[in-house]
Amino acid sequence: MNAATAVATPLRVPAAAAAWLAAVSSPILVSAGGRVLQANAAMQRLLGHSADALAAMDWDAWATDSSRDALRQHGLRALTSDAELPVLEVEACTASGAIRVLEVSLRKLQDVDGPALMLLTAQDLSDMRYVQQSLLDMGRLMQQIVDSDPVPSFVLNTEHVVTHWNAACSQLTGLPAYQVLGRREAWRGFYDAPTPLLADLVLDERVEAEGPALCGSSLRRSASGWECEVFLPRLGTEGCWIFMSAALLRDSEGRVSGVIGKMQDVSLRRRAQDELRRHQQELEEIVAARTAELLLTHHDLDAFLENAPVGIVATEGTRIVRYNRTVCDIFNLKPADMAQCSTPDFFVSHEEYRQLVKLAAPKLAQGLGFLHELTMRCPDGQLLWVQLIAYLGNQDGDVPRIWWLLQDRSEVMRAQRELSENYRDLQVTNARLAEAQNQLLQSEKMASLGQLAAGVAHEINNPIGFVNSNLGSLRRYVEALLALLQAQERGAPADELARLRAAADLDYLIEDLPQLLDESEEGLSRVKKIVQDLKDFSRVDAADWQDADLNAGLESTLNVVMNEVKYKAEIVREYGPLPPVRCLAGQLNQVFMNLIVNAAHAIEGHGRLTLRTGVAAQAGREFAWVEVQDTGVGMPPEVIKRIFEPFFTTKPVGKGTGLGLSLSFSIVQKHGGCIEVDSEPGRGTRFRVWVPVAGPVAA
Amino acid sequence: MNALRLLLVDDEPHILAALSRQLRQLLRGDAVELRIEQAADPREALRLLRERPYALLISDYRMPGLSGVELLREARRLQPHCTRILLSGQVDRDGLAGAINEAAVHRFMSKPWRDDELAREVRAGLAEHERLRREAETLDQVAAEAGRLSPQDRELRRLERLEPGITRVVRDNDGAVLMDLDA
Repeated sequence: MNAATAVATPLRVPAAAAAWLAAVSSPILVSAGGRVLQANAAMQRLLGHSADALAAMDWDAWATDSSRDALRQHGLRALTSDAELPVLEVEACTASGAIRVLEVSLRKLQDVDGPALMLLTAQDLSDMRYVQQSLLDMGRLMQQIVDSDPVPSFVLNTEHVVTHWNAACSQLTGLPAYQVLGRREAWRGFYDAPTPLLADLVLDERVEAEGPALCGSSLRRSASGWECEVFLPRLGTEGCWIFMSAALLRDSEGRVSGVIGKMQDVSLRRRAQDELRRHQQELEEIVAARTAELLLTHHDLDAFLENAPVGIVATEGTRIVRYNRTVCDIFNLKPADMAQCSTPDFFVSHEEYRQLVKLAAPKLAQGLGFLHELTMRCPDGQLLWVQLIAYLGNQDGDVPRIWWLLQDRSEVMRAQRELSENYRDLQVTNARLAEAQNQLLQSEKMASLGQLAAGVAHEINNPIGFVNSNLGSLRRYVEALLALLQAQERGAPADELARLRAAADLDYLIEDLPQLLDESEEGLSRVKKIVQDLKDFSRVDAADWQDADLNAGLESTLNVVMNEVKYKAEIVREYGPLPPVRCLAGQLNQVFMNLIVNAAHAIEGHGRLTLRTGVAAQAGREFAWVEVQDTGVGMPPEVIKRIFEPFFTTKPVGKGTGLGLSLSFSIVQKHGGCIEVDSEPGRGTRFRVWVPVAGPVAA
Repeated sequence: MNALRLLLVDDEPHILAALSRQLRQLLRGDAVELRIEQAADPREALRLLRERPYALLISDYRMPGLSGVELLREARRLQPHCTRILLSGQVDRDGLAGAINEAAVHRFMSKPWRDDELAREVRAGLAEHERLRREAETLDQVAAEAGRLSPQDRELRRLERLEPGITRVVRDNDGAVLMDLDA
């Protein structure tokens, strides 16, 4: 239909209807298919055209080209049918050129006798569209934000359906987004069995009730929601500690639209925390232990200090700040009294105290210990000799603390003094003893000398005896001979001569006289020999070391003591060749004499004495040996053990000093030699003296 | 009268020679005839003492084999009337005391001796011997007269004094008489 045909009667909306329509708030447009018959204010506003402009327009002119056709069709249908038509989305171009999307609904309006009119009601969808679009955009934006967030995140809607599951979350949980999106199975990412997540609880406002059970004590409110730390064994290789947060999402009206859950793998941090905690625990334990130790040590130290056998005092200047029991004992004080004292009280004079401090200062200043001994005074007046060591202690305040270790050395001093005196006494006694020993040795020498003298005297007496006698006889012979001679010279008568001849015992005389002279000569030479032997034996001329012939020495010794020996024993000599031996010959002869005399004494009745000599090498050195063997009574082992002891003798009291062998032993020792003993009761005894040919080795 | 025998015992031959010499010189003038005999070995001296009577015995103290004391003791037993003189160069006082006491030595002389001392002692010794002999004879006579001593015994004793050992006869197993007696 076109507008021209309608000219006959211009179409108009009935006035009543028009008034009603004008009051409707929604944009309305009435048309008969041609021009716009009526458009209310809302429509005018919507389209941006005035009523007049609209009246001049076709009813669909305002639609964009793309939607006009559909609109026209729709309009036609509306005019021709009574059915309720569906709404139609139309894009409108406003007067300003903006495109708005409208939801248009068309209805036929017809009076009973009137023309068919089309009522077009539009709903501006633009805002809605816009909002929708915005929402979509927002949604997309949010999606992108969530997706790109490196923090694993997911979003649940109010139905607990997963709407967002970002890549980080997939990585964490191992669940790709498509497996959970749109489902109520967010738990799959975290648990093996359906378990409410924090997000679920937040959404359902069940956090306070069920949260602790799920999350433990870590559950707490955050600025925007709730957070907790849970250990999820399902994640990672051995399970992870996950810091979970959940915050409600609200729409523009403030209504909850969903919940966003975020997670962080805090395993490392947790582990570190645990480590730290453990460390701290350990440290605390160590500290506790150390403290305990320290305390113990402190107690020990205290106990030690208190019970130490040395006096321990700490002073600060003249003030005594610490002391132990021993100090009190040293100074004869009760501990209570000690507290009343000051440092100088314990010195003999204040001057001494000052001197000590002055002496100590340099050492203490260097941090060294100061050692000193001095006289100190007890408060009761008693004086002590005290040894002290002082150390600088820690400084609390400006007066340095000095630690003193004290020991009462009075006793020690006294003991030392006594010791010195004793030592002196001992020295004196020792000197006296040495002297006495010397005297004893002298007397032993004297005794043996006496014995020697007796023997020698006897040996000399015989020759002297008969020489003396013979001299007397000689005198008488000579007198008689002289008388005869004189008578002959005188020319005495023959009978007188005969008488004198008879008186002189001439025949006997002539025979006897030469014998007398021979015998006397022999006697004197024997005396000479004995004296020489004595000289050789004693070697008075040789007190020094010299090279001697031991065979000669042995022989002369034998002669000297022959008197002791010749009645008791047959003498056998087995001398070997001996080199000169470096020795004190006189002393060695003394040894030989001792052995020979002992051997003679050991023989009961009659026996044999054998003397042997020889050389032998021992330990690379040449030794001369001299042996005296007897067929005497012999000695049992217990006697052999003791023979070299001074004063040991088997002879009855008065016979022998018992020093002979001990003297011999020391003489041989002096020569660097030794004495061998071989004896058996009943068999006899053999002594062998070894002497180094070269003399004793320098010690 | 028979000569008086003197026995000198000393292990030193020169002593024996000197003694003999002296005694011969000193006592030549005396009325008595002396026979001086020597023994260097005391065992030899014992043998002699068993065989002949001696008026005087001079012995040394210390000798090898037999000591002077033992010799003198034996001599006393064998010939109680033989005077015993000890001549010694020893200074051992205890030994000497023993000798004097045990052997009842009549006189003691030390070596070296003096001539006049020797002469004096020997003379005294001989006189003593004479006295003892006469005393013994007198006793025997008295005993015989009292009937205590038979004439045979008296004669035996007299013979024994003259010749010691003569009254003793030793026979061997066959009954033969042994002439030589060893100690």
